[in-house]
Amino acid sequence: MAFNAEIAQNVEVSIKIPPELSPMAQLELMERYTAVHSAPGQTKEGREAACLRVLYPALFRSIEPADLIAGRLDFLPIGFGCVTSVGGVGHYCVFNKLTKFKAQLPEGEQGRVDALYQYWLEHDLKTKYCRDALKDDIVGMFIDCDYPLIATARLSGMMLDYRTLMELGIGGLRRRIKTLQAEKGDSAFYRASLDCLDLFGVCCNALAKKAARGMETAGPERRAELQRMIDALGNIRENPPATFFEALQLFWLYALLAGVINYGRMDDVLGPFLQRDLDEGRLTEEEAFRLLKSLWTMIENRRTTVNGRIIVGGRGRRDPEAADTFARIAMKVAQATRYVEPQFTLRFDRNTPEDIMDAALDTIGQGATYPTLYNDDVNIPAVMRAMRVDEKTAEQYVPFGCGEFVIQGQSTGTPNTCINLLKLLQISLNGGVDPMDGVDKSDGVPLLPAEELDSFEAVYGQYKRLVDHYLDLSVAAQTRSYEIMNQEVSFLFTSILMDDCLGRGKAVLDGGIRYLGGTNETYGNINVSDSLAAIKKVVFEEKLVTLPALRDAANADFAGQERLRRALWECPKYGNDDPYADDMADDLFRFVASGVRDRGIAAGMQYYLIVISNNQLNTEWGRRTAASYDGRHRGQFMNPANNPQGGANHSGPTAMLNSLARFDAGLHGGSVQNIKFTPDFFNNRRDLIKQMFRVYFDKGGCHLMVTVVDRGVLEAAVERPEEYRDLIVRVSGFSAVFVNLEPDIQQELMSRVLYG
Amino acid sequence: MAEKTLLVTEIERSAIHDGPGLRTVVFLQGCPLRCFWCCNPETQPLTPVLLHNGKRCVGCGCCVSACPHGAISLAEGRAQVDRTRCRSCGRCVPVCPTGVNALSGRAMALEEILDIVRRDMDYYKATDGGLTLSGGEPLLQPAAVKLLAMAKRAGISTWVETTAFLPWERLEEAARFLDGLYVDYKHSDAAALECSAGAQLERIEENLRRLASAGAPFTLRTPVIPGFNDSEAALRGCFAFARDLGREEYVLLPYHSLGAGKYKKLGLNPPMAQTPVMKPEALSGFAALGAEYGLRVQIGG
Repeated sequence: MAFNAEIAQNVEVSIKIPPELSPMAQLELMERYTAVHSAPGQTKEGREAACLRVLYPALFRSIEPADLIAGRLDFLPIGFGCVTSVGGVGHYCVFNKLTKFKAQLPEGEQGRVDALYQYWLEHDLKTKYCRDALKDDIVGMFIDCDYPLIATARLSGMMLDYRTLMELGIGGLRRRIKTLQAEKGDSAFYRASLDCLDLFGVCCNALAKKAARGMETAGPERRAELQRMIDALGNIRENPPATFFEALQLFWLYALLAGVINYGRMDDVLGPFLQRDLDEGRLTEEEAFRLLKSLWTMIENRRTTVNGRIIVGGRGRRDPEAADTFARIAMKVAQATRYVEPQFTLRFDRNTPEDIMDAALDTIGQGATYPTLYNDDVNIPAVMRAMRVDEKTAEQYVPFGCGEFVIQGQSTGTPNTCINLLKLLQISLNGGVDPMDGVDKSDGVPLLPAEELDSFEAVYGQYKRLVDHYLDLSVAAQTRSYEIMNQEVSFLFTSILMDDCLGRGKAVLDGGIRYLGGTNETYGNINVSDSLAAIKKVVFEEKLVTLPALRDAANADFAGQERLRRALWECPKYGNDDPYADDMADDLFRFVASGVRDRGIAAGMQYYLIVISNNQLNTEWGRRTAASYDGRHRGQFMNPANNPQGGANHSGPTAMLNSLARFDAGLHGGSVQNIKFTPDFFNNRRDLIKQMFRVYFDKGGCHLMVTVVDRGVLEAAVERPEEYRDLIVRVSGFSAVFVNLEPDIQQELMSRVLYG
Repeated sequence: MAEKTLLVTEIERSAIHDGPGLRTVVFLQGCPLRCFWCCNPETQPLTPVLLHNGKRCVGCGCCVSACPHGAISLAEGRAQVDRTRCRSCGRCVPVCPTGVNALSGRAMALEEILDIVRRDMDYYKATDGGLTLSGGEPLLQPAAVKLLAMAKRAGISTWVETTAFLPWERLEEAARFLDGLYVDYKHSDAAALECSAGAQLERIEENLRRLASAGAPFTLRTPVIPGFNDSEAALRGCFAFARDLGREEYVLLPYHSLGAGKYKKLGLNPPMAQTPVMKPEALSGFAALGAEYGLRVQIGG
């Protein structure tokens, strides 16, 4: 079955903090929500606003003693949201969580949960989508790794136009809507939007009360902090923010209510407030640091795993100097916190101040992993082409989640489809059958058996035909997700701050959004291109083995064929700056990227682009993917992001960077490029590292995520040396590949204090 | 034909210790010295040589039947290589399912080598990096000088790491195409050098004097080896010679045991198995000593 209500809907890596309300209070709230949802005679917009009033402010948690800004939210198994990471999508029910929740209740009350469960089986948005759009054995739900293609409904990666929020304030937005109502006529969308702004005010009041409660037991310093919170909440309820603190509070509360989990160009939004407060002596840098650190903690505590993007730097900011002041302090916070989230992101170009680039490398060198680096000189022209927008618009690109781009405040880019390109290669060489489970997944595409594929071109051509078919399915699943979401909800808080929803009087997916875009996450890209390179070489050039024999060996996970597996593994591999492998990777990239992009345009989207993401799905999907012709074993992870298969690159960082820089950034909507260094290599010759990166970025490198590894990675390398052939270390003034060292030297290196 | 190829041990890209900037180091087979501490023993012969990683052997016997010289047999479930019979033909390399065997030394055309070197051209330009020949004694193979000349013509900076234990003519010819030389000056006592490395100090010193008077850009280096030259007296001798040649800089390389595993793969006993890696800090006293001779001493490459 393609659909199963109980399946986990996304990969949760971080442990969530349990809700503050008692189980019975949670139950009552979910029942109220369900009652409001089921009330007859409502418009879609009115129902959404009414449902939100059930959730908020009831789900706000108490203010923690260390919080400097107000606003922590809980999520229940039933509620409203945009994304699967916090709650669910639209009016949602997360069935497996509801089942778990049931167990917390006294036995007499458990029947009440069953009633909810039954109601939501018919009304959960994602369930409706799954029943409509999925197809047994072909299109699966998130995250069902037996499928070559998975699809979902969600509105990920919305980065709102907070600049407008800061300029107008809640009151200004309200006046704007009222003017539009007068000009264009009233509508349920405008009325519900006004309801949401009222709800914002109600939440300000509720949080101010929570803060006032905290005053009773607080010392004088904490009282001052709480008073600042109360005053700010009182002001932003209606007015534009007057200070950095108020701006921070306004942004945070709005983002929470909108249910968005990526935040965008905070330096552009908040920098001018920060600079003015610093210049006019209302704020010290130390206090600004404390405030941002508190924001970082709030974001971390939301535990959205691969989201929480805060972006600084880059072109298209209104006041670059003020924004850079923000960026410098944010850099210090990233150094001090070293959280997994926020995913702290630096956009840069040739004009980025040197001290900011140096601070970024210092932060990375201390093991923070952040900031992750985006090259505007490549990305802005690339976004112009990929998304078909002008330069000024492209300057507002922002990466979200696992690396997808959107235009802040102007576009959607949600990755509602993911495709496993490697599974498709195996299916195409097995007459349509997935060797992992023996199920026919050809979906009717006629495929020749391997015995009849007598040239490399025939192999590649057949694969492309199957991929083409799946890309057709993919674009259909993506557009269907928008239609079904739009039937159910308006994402009101989001719509209010996305161009041109208010002006057009339409919700984001109802024709309101300026640029309707989407993304398709592709997996196994490099395993496929390396496999194709190996087939070309071993089968058709060296004739070491026939294609059917290779297919059979891989299907048997190379049992008794270790020699063949080695020969495959030793074929040229992407990541070593070897044209044999890299040309193949580039050719495949062009085929898949253009195929997705062209279909999106044909389907009426502004853009539909591949993204090559960084998350756990390459591992999860790899577990359910048979052995491949690049020498990868059955069940082993697939290549991560746009990187080589673990252990395949062994030619040093310059070779790796040359490979990474190959692909045309104008054809994708984000491609994550990872590189890792040992601390001694990265930190002792920083001058060289800096130049190395500069050359890579000049060569067309769009992105770089630099990991300076810790002891744990070195330990893993001792355990599994074949996966870590790229780790270079310094030993007494010599460089060496870590896994080639003798055990005693490895131990000596690991015993060193890596960083303070 | 031989003039257009080189027997290459390994090509290492992104090297940061073998001359200025980011460099590609081409290691070449063949060395006239036999230093007992040698960390690249596989480079010593001027021929390919079999590296046999017995630890990974699963005893399948594939290599036994593949060997045309009867040099491999199974004993105690593992393949054993009889080095007196092995001709390093490499037939045992592709047949091994676990990758136990490898050949050090692959004949590569000069153009093929240069193609790889050229791929990092942009990095060289940004960091004043380039090509470094190392080994072995990289100038032992005559074609090495041709490679240097080709690299120079391609606008690539060229360095070598040499023993200087060569005919002067070879060194002189190479120096015309070199931007820098690291010369290992291992000891200032002729008997000690002869006995521990099999080299004649007289020739090395004579070559160095000539290099100095020709104005060649060379830097002396000493690998500091416990029990051989890690004494004040030995290093004073080195520093004094450097001063006499008008050097201002000197490099001390702390002993390391990275070569230990390679000895095992060559079927030899690691000669210094019990000697721990020397920490760079241990040489700071010698750096101060160098200063007495007017030398700026760098520790490590």
